[in-house]
This record gives sequence, structure tokens and C-alpha cells, in this order.
Amino acid sequence: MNHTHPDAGQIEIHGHARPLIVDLGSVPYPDLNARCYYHFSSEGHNQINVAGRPQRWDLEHEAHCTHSAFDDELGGWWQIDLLTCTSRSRT
Amino acid sequence: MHLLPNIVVVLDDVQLLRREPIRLRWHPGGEPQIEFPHDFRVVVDEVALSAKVVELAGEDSPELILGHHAYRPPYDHDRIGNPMPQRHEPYLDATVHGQKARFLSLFAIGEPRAPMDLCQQIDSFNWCIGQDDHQVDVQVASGVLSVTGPNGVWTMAID
Repeated sequence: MNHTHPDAGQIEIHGHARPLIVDLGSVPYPDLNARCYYHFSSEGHNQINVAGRPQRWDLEHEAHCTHSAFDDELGGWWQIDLLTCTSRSRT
Repeated sequence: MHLLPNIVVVLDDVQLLRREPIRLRWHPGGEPQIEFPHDFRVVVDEVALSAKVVELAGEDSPELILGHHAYRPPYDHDRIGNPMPQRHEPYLDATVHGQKARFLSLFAIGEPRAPMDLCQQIDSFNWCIGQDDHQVDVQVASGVLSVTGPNGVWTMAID
């Protein structure tokens, strides 16, 4: 899922319409400092984090689904490559 | 990987250029019960999620650490300047320090009376989830993740 938060690779789990592993959603944080609020940042999402560095979430650094399969009777699986959005920028 | 009707398996693979802290975080839908070091369960309106989180690349899998979020000054006011009420949502972290990590997270949706340790490790490569006729086998070996249950099997290349 992605709702303009740095949440690439995150999953949620719902069972019998109950939220069991969740996204924390959005709160009315100031847009200017959004990344300082955990509802927006990588801190508030179900994902891998390296050394506390936030995920990048601009269009040039999107994650990519590399493989997937789905079946109505069996379920599904997918692989997501997060290298682009988690790698350090060159400075 | 989602195996119907009630199993979710997540494999997170990380490879770095140097040793750094690598953290996997899960936000349960309510205050979790924790069976240290690797298991937790959350119950939401009579629906339970049993889980196990282990790390496979290192020698010792880290224990789960429970934390709660909090807004901290000066970032504790909303966009029109009102103080934001603290919510203290819980989260569970598993953290390793290394150049690589492989976290395996096993989830099973069921009833609250199901045993806490619904996910059991069989050996270094195999786990089982559930009991009796509803047992699901999970294998991580030879470049393949496979999840096998009463309804079928999912297999995925992982290397």
C-alpha cells in the first residue's frame, strides 16, 4: 500500500473484517513538518528500517514489485524490491 | 505470501555494504500479548492473530521489544496549532546489527482460545503453524520459501 507516506513494502493484515496488523493512518500534522510525525514517517509503518534512515518516497525512488502470483482459491504472494527507496542518496 | 484461509508469511531480506542496525517493526491492531522471545498475539473483537518473528541470517534471533508511539515536542501540535492527543499505539520491534538480515514473520488468524505458541519451529529450515487437520508447514531452504497447507502450496524463489 502507499498513500503518499514512505511506506513501501508495508503490509496490513485483516481477519474477519478486524484490523490485526495495521497502518496507523493519518492525523492533521502540519504539512511542512510531516516527516517529524510518526503517522507519516517510516517509524509508524510495518517495514524494515536500516540505521533509522527514513524511506525515500519521491517518484524517482519508488519500490518495484518484481514477481507475484494470485489465485482465488489459494491466496497470493508478491515480492517487492525496496533497494531504490531505502538506499542512501549520494552527497 | 498469503495462503488462504488464514495464513500470512512475510520474509524480509536485507543486504548492506557494512554493518548497521536493521529493524523490523509490526504494529498490532491492539495491545499485544507477548510470549518472549519471538511470539505475540493480538485479539480484536474475538478475532486473534498469533505471530512469530525470527531472524535467520545470524546466530541468535533477537527478542521482540514492545514500544508505544508518542508525539514529542515540538512536533506535538496539529496544523492549526492545537495540541494533539497522545494515542500511544503499540509496536513490536526485532533488531539486529549486521551486514545482512533475513526476518521470517509467521501469522495465523484464529480464535482467542488458540494456544499462544501456535507457530512452532521444527528445525533450522522448517516451521509449522496451527494444529491437527489445519496445520501449515513453512520451509525456508535452498533458495525457496514454501508454504504448504490443506488447500495447497505456494512456492517462491528467494535468492
